Amino acid sequence: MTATLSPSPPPTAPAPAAPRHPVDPWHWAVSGAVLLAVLAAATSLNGVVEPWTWLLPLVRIIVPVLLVTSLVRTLRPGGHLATLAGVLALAGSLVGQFLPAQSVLAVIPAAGARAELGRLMAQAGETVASQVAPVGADPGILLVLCSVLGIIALLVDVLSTTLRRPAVSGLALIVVMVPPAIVKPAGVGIFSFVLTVLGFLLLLALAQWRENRIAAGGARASSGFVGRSAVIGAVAVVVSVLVPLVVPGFTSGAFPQGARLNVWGTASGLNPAVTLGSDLRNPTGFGRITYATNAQTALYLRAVTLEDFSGRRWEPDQRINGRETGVDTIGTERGTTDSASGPTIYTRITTQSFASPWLLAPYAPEGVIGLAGNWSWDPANLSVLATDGGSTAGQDYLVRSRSQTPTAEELGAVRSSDDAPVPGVFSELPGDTPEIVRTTTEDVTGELDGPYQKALAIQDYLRGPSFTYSVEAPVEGGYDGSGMSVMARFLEARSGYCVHYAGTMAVMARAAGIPSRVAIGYTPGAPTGDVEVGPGGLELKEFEVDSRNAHAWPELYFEGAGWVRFEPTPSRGVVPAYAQQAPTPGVRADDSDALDPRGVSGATGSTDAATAPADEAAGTRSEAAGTGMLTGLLVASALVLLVLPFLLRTLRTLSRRRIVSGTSTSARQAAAAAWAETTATAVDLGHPRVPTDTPRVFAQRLARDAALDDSSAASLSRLRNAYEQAEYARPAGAVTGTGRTAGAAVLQGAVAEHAAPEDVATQGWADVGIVTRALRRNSTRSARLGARVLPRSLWDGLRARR
Amino acid sequence: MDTRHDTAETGEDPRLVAPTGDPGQERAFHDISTRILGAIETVIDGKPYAARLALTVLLAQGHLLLEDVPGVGKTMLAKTLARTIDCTVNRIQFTPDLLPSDVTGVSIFDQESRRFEFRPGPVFANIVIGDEINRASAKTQSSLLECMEEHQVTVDGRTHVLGEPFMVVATQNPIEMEGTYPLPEAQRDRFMARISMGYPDAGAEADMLESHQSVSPLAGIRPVATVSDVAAMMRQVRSVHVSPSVKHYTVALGRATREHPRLRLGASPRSLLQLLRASKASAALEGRDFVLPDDIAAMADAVLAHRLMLDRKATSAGDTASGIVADVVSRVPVARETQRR
Repeated sequence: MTATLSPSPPPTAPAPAAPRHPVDPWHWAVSGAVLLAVLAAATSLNGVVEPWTWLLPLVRIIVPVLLVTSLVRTLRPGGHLATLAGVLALAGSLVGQFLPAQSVLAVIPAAGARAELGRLMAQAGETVASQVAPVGADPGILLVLCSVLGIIALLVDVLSTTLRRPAVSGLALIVVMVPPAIVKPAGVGIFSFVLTVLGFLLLLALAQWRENRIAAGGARASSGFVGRSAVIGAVAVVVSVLVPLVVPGFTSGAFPQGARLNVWGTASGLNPAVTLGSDLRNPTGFGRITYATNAQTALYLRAVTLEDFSGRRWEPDQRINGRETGVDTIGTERGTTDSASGPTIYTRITTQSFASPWLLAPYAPEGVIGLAGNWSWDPANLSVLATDGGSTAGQDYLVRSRSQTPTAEELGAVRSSDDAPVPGVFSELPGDTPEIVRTTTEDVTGELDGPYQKALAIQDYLRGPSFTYSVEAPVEGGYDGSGMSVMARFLEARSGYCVHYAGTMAVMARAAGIPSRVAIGYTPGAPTGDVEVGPGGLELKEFEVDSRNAHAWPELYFEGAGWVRFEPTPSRGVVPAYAQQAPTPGVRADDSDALDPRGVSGATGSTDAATAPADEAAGTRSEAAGTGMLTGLLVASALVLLVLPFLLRTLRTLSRRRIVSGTSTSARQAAAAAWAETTATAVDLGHPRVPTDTPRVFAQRLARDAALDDSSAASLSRLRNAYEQAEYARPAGAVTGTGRTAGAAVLQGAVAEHAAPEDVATQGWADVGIVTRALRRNSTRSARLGARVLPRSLWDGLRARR
Repeated sequence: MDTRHDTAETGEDPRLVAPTGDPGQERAFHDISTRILGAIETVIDGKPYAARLALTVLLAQGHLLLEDVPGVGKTMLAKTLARTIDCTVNRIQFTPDLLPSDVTGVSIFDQESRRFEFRPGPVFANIVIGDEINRASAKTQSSLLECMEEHQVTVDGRTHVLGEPFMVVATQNPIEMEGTYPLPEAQRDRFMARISMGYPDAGAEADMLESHQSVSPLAGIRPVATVSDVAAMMRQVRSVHVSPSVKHYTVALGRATREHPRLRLGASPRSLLQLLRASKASAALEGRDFVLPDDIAAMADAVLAHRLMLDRKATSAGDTASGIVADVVSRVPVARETQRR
């Protein structure tokens, strides 16, 4: 750094080209490729932040940075001055864009800049903590986004232009894709992935082109390199896109759902409705939760409800006002009365790694004890939320709740009223409610009068044969998740999963005049067989649930009976007795002790029989997906293992080629690398090298054994001579008064046999290529294959290192 | 006793040859060596290796021991090499009654000046041919020792320095022959290299019979190099570069002989030094200004074999020193400086 900061030479004197940093105008092309590559990688952020609003600010940050670095490189090649200038340019353009009011000349931060910066950062932090993807592109988020991508662009630029290691810069581009891969429900997506790869390949190609121009001293461009890179790149992209499609277990191309990272276990700060689809698609359950309960009926664990249907995407209400702190005792919900009958249920829940700000509890909770941290409850929907950034992770608590046990008779007696004693948010339909929702509701419930009858009709309609349960269809159809438009798409496609069924039923219920909300949580899991003793000596049976039990269901409000759960999703959950068709008067209780949903279909006798095949299909598909995923992983691992030696060998060749053609390497290194590549190729093709071989002995044997023709033998001896020179001759610059005499120098000239290592540099990679091709030509097919699949020189290298 | 001067004194102190800074002359290294070897080849048919080795030892400033049965051209090789260079050459025929003073010279009392005057012996020449050296007594043999090692002669307490270049080319019959005194180890160690001439092949032998019929082929040999040429070439040889890895390789070879199970005595440090010097000359003859491991390996037999002492078991098993050197060379890995990439 000190060297680069030294005063620059007078502009009149032509700056001598430092050997490591040749003067070249071609770095402009590389920086251009950097811009394209970073923007290509940034396209994957679409959907993490609101669509495309971030693009222009980002361009306004990256372009000045790259312009400044390129300009500095042109004026003063070499060194890290360009990097420093890039950092300053980045800081300047960030200030200009985000703190214009607190700056001088729109680039230098002035009074108040720090406070404004703090405010923006706080805003970004708030957005990240409170919103779900896609977050709004507010100035705070934009500042973070632009800073990070600006740094990455600078990093990629430095790596590929200053340090001339463009391949490494791919890592920085991957960093850009990590957040979308984790956060976005559909992963990075093929479009962004392919675009990023293309950008990276363009960068590689141009960087290599620049290397060749530098090596050739600008005399001519190496022919066909860009073309070759393009072919290799195209093949790589096609393979990376096709292989996941061909191999079973990958369901949606690159970054498939099942293979997505789950850094935070299940829903955590994100919209539970969004992650739910992913959870359901994950063939291996995670986030295991156990609960022990004395309930005699199927117990749903509820975390949160969705009731505001006006947004583009439904989100849990984060209202802080109106929440009551302290959950030791939870009061009743608005619109319900204390008279809600039913036995008191005690449930002890162990969340283990499940992390969410919303507490899991059976409906309707009356009190929770044993919780760590501060929690609050919402009188509007009885959801329990951590108030100080706490979460459910590692909690072990006891919930006292009262079960819902209305009978069909009671519900059937409820008459619709226009002024239900619940907040308006539960009965409002947004103005943009799609027409199909209203028409469908009219078709299904038109002739019925009681709200209960309407609700049953909607549930039965959704459980009917025209709907199929599928966790894949929404992904392919582009309506994964929640939202009013999603529900409309679901009604057209008639295929989806619980969020769609529950959401649609809730929306249709409102259209029919019944207040509704969507609850999110878990279906009853499978019994573990363990029994523990609860308060008052109660016997608590233990069950376990994991991400595969994640579920959404509608809760409808009936005046006098309160919030009542329905189950419109076929093959999932348990249909409550009161919600079954042809109700038998006087029958209470849900229906069975079989809490495992897989054991339910027989017990819910009145469930439409047509859904049974769908149940089985879903189950089989889930299992098949699991096996497929495993097979896919195994096949992928085997493939990777198979091509790993080839890749390593190819990387080594490329690195040597770089050394040979590079101008920053000494002639000595170039000769050694060229010889190492030649011998490695020979070893790969079955011409072993023994430790007692001198280069000369090895070359003689190789020329004989491989039956090299004259021209390739000449190339081989040129390479050998250069290597001998590099390895054994007096190092350049070691000439001393007593050492190298004029005579010694002449000795070499007397017999022109000895190519100086400089010759290798000028000869470039050509001789290596000639010998390699000759060796391949004269080898058997199996030897050639062996050289590709299992290059022996890799083992030799390992042995030599030991 | 038979000593005679083959050529007249040049009248010039050979040690005082000035270093030639003339590139033209230095460029001639290859030309001169080619000419010398070509001249030798006209006399000694079919022995290019022996001729080249003789020149190598000369340029490496060592001494050469030619060992073989009588009549295979040992003396002829030595004489031819001497003739190709315009320098002083003396020949000493070693016999059992040869005295040390017959080699080194004596101090004679000059009546006129009433002082002792040193009469130099035949060892005072650039190239000394010691014929059948193992026929002389141990005392006489050892008188040659000081000359070979120190390049000087001490008579009556006075030291007389020998000229440069100075090379002893000794021939000897195999020790099994009658009337020979085997050279002691110390003296063998003084010779840089030993070669066996071996019989010429049939064709070369027939040619020899034809060409040597009428006139001695030696008569046709004219000097192709001067003493100063040779001195310059020697300087060039000294400047040949030896990389650390080649030095390591040389040391490894030496250590391998010392640890060899069938050897009673391995290569001495001096022998390794001589191996390196011979290799430098060999490299220079090939037009290189640096030594390759190949040079070391190629010189190992000639330089090391005659110094090694086999143990009794190896001798009785019919092993030879050359065979053991070859074995060692085939086992010692070649060191490399640059890490393989």
